[in-house]
Amino acid sequence: MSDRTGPASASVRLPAHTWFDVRRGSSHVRTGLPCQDAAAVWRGRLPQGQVTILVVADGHGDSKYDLSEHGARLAVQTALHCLRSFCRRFNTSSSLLYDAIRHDFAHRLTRQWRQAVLRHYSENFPQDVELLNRPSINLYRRYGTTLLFSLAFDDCLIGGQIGDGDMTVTHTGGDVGRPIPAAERLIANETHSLISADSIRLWRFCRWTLHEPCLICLSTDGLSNGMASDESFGDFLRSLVRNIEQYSFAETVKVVPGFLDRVSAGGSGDDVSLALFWQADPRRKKKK
Amino acid sequence: MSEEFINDGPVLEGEITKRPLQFFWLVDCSGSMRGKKIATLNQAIREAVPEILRALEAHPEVQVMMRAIAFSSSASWHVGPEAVKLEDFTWPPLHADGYTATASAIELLLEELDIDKMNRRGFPPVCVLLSDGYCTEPEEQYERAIRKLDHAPWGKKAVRLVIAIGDGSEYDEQALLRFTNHPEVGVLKANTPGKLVEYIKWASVTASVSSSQSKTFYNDDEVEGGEGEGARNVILASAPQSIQIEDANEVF
Amino acid sequence: MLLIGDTVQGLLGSRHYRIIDRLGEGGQGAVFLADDGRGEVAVKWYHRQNAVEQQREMIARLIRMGPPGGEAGRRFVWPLDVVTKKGDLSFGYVMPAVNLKSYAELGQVWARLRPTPGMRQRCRISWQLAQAYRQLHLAGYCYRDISMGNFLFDPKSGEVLIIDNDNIGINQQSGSRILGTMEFMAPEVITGRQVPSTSTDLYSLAVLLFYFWIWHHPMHGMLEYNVRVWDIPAKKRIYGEMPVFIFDPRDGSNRLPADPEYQTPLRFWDACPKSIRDLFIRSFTDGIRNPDRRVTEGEWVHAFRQLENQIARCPHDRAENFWQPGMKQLQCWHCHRRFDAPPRFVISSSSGLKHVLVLPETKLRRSELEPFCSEESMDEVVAEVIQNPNNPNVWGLRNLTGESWQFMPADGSEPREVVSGRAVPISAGHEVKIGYQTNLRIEV
Repeated sequence: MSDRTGPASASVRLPAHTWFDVRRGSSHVRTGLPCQDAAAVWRGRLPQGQVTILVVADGHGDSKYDLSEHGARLAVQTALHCLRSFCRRFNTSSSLLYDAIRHDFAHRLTRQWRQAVLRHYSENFPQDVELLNRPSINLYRRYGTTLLFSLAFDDCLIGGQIGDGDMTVTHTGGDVGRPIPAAERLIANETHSLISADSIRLWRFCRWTLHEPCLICLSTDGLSNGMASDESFGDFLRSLVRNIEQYSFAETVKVVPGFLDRVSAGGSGDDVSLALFWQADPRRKKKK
Repeated sequence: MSEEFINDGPVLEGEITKRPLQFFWLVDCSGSMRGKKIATLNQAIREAVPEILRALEAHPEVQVMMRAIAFSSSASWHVGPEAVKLEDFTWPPLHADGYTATASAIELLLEELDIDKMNRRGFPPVCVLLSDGYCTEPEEQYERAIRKLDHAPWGKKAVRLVIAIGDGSEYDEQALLRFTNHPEVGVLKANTPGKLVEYIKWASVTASVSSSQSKTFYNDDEVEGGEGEGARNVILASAPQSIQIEDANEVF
Repeated sequence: MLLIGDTVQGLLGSRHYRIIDRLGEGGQGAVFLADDGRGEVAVKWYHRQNAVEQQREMIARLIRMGPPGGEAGRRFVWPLDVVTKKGDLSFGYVMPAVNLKSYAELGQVWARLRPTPGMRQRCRISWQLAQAYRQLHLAGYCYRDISMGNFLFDPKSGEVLIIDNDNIGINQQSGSRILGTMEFMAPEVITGRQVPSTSTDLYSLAVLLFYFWIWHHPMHGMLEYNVRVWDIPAKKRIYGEMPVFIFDPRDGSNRLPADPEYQTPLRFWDACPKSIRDLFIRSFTDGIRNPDRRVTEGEWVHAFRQLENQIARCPHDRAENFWQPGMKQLQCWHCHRRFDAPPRFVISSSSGLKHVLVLPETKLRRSELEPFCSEESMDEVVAEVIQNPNNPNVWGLRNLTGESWQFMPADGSEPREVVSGRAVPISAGHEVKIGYQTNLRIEV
């Protein structure tokens, strides 16, 4: 079982066929901003069997959201915790789990995230009694972040998203599925987030059946924004799958950080996070 | 790229590019612009280009793409419709002649702000309108064009600024004001050549820099069933202070 | 699992369907776009665990019996064929393809992916939804799985479609498989005392309408807020064993918590007209325990059709406000400024009194003047507000019925005939006799 957030380091071993990294953006390096993305991978045994969870979050940056690097980290941790407890509590069928996530996850998560934010704030700014006694949106705003998760077992993928970022499923044949389609009404650098008014209604969820070897990939918008087009983004995903098949998952992920840095430096300038899960055999029922 | 074809390990693909910021000049070159005005304008835009480049050095992840629509008796592409990279952009001098087809110019702009033609990942576009006179096309046509601009997804998001050239009695300030979606800036009144140069530089630089700043958080508080103002998502630094010294006898 | 490019085999008429695209996936299965050689259709393909024989039989029966009749019956996207694929244990069914560009789910509106329907559209969507279920129930069916996921609407035109009709059963006959989404289930179904029926459908319909108007679950208040471990037993407790309405006027134990995430429902409840609030209160107080007290589809239809004609725009900010009988002035829910109520047509007919606000765009439908007209003709425009071409300051109501009206001026002067095509001037106190039974008075 592995459960951690923040940039990958060689010292922690990730579950087989999973990987993630969080790269500080070139513009953040230039201006001295911290990395405001966070990501995590978790795998463990739950009533559903062997469950793999990927999460990425993109803290807003900008001076108004000055604690968003913590907001993103706390969102990732809260999501992992929340998703695992949903798996334990809604364990009779995948339909029941999906229904529960669709109806209840957003507001359960938001409340837990706010509690975590409040704890963090009180530990770091204990002197700010006034705000701590009456936490307002102004406090949470400083922690603003997006959040994107996927939860996979056997051939079932359940995902959720608030704000930008990309979730894709790339098959060996090269076709790229988007379980949650891009929001066409959000253009020109706009996004939703955990601090949006009425945020619980801004979530989108998906259920997707995996039917052949495929790569589940979650990334923050720093990646797709640095690519020339949707087509180029697809090229990147297809090249990942091709390399995994030709070499191995472990060999392939070695060259990913360098590529992500190039995307940031030559493209978006933004932090880039990527979480991967290579589902080699979705049909095989894992033994309980 | 002509690399040796040696494949000894995983290689990742996918074209990496900067995100585009589409910049549109809408320039009046009607007969009334003849002479000094058009000369100053040509000069001012030429001077603005390196200033934008310099200002964006701090934002290397932005690729500004330039286009220009010139309008007199009709509107046509002065530069475009293929956009030119800012670093490759030069301003071909404009010559003044004819009427003032402002509405047609906006219609031409709208064609390019089409949701299918714009890159979804792009920054909010910048549109700067420069004019010295009344639109000579029917008022309804102008109104219709503005309304379409206000409703088009990218039209709404664009940073739209107006610079009025010359004496206040020669242009219709209210009509020009309808073009901008930054009422806090209003119509920039360039009544001297110096101001025209200053405003062109300010508008193009500020709009480009502001538009390429970090993202905005969509939160439209629309009136149910109403028109809804929609989200204007770029905040501009304030315009250069200009104290108007005019003949005035009113005591205040 | 189906893949793009696969072909599935129909059981009726042995037609073939080629899978073209994947449209989406839900709890029970995935939906694909397919081509049957003559045009596009949709194919729902079940997840293996949902592909049970009982389901297949139910669908075959629904196809045999056909959709409910009438205009409203057409809003059900009804199964057309059962399909299988060689070597695959699952199966699916074919239905007409829906234009998903114009139709939206409520969740998409919440996520701002689709425009929010205006109040007039909301009324229209609501009564169409209730009317559709009315037709279904009249045909002897019960839906059993009414929820947000199978209700589509066009936010602009106000048209409604009901999808996922594979769980429809015969009222009080079909198998007792507990179906549906717990959020929408009647308490007696959750506790296992009853199987789904038309009466439990009425409860689910009220929950769905509540979601549509208030954007919230009627039982999500303090009781839900304080649950630490949100699991199946907790949901059963909140929705089934001890449901308390968040706006119950007598029981305040489940009020909305003072949390910013719970403020939207309060705002929408305040903007919701009293007639609708009263129906919700009945649905979720008496209607919880006493199924006979549940609001019927007909009551919903009547209430929303009334409201559709009682929307006035605030002159200050154009926000839509509901007028209620007796109001001389309205206070805008958005800008809080007051404004005068527009004039009204007060229509009395054999079905009672009806109020219609007089606005430049007001049109009267046949059902407003003839309460017992046929379903096909009820939406037909039979009168419209127009301006006098010679004097634009004078407004009139033009007769489009094809028959003459009798106009009785307010000053008591001689009654006049208004032949079809002509208009009665709109001014206070004028009365019009329409047909034998209907009387229209202009109230200012």
